[in-house]
Amino acid sequence: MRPATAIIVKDVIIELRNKESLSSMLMFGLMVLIVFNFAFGRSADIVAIAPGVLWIAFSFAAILGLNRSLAVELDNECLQGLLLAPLNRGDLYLGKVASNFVFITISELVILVPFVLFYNQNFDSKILWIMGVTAVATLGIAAIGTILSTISANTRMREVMLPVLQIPLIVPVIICAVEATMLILSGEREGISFWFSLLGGFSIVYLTTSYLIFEYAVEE
Amino acid sequence: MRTQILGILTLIAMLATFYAVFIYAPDIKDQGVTGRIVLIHVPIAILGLLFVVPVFVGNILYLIKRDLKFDRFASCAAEITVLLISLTLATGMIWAKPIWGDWWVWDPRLTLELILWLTLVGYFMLRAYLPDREKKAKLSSVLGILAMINAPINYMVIRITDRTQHPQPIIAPSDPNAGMAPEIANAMMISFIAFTLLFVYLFDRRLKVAKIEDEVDRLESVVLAQ
Amino acid sequence: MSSMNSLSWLYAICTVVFVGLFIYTWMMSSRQKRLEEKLDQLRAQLKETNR
Repeated sequence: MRPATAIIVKDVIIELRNKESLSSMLMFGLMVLIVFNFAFGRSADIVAIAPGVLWIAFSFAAILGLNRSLAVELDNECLQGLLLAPLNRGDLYLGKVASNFVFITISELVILVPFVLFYNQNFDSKILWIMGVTAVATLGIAAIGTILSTISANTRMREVMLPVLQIPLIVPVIICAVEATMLILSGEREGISFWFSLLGGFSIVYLTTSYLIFEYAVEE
Repeated sequence: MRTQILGILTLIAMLATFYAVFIYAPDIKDQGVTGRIVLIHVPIAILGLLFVVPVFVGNILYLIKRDLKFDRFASCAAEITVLLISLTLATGMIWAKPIWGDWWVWDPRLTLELILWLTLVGYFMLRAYLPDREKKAKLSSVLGILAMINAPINYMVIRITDRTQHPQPIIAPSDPNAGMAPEIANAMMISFIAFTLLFVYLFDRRLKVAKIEDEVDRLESVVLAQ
Repeated sequence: MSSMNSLSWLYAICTVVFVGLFIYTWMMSSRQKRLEEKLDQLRAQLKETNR
């Protein structure tokens, strides 16, 4: 497991140096929250659409983060360097998933603050539950997104290809996350564990499959 | 030779279908003449879902054997599937407007079809932007496998979270056997056989074209190398 | 819903389906013809240079 950990550490160090990834995800998430308010403002109950808006903000921030993470690898051909290292392809994948997961989740958790402020929520235990949903769902998003960004890196259209490929595949995760968030915000406790286990299940399925086929995505 | 026979059989079957759908079958109750669309829509919908299977099989086989013929098999099947799903969605919408009053409903069946369509379009976009033949085959096969894993998950989740208020849609197009006149069942069967023949024929022809395309590419690179 | 109305939807459907299929078949046939010509051309070219 040590090589995979080394990748996470490397990515964290890079990010701490220039903070590009985190800041762009944060700004983007904030923008989405604000724009939706203007888009719906008078015509809809802002609290009713809150769970959806939150997850739209998270989805697109995640895509941004994945693209940035990939760009970092492609610069100066770091990816080739990583491939030359005595590292199992699957472990390389897991390492990247872990670092993507960490960054995306951190920005999502931060985005929750303006969310609470703008969408008339309270800083109570509900938010803790939402953080939990966020973490599990983001694991699935990171799992799929990492392998897809590696695939789309081979095309001319890189950054645009990723959302095109990712969004249809990420639909079940988003649906479950929004359902869970809706349940939490409405105060019910029944049934949340169901969505949690679904989300956890997907993450496991996506992680396992991608771990097995990642080598095909990066071989030269 | 095989293709020609298939072509002729298809033609005969399609003519039989015309007769069956428009003359032989009676009107479906409460749906007037528009109801006959179901006799075309349902077989095409089923075929669309069936043709997805060769795509995934082809993708897996390619990654194992690395023979381009499997990639051709997968991508041609994918093309036929996109065609089928597009027709399913189009015929579905044209049927829906007069019967339900809406062009579109976010019920599980339609939503799943739409997502499948989007996934396959993504598959083709990826292929379009990968100029290297082997890379194209390899990466799109990886994508295909991811999509295959995703499909049952999608199915499960979208059905669980179904909130559509129309009870009718879920029953009407999918259970035509409930209290259906035998003529309609027969017409549906004829229609299904004919469309199966048609699309297998198209698949066959498409495969041939794909093979020639690869051959042309190969020869071109040989010529260029000289 | 009058059967006049229903009939026109039916025609719309059939047109869509069959025109769509027809276009697809047409495109494939022409592509095949074009490619076969190219193939013969390339084969001839190769024979020339190998002589």
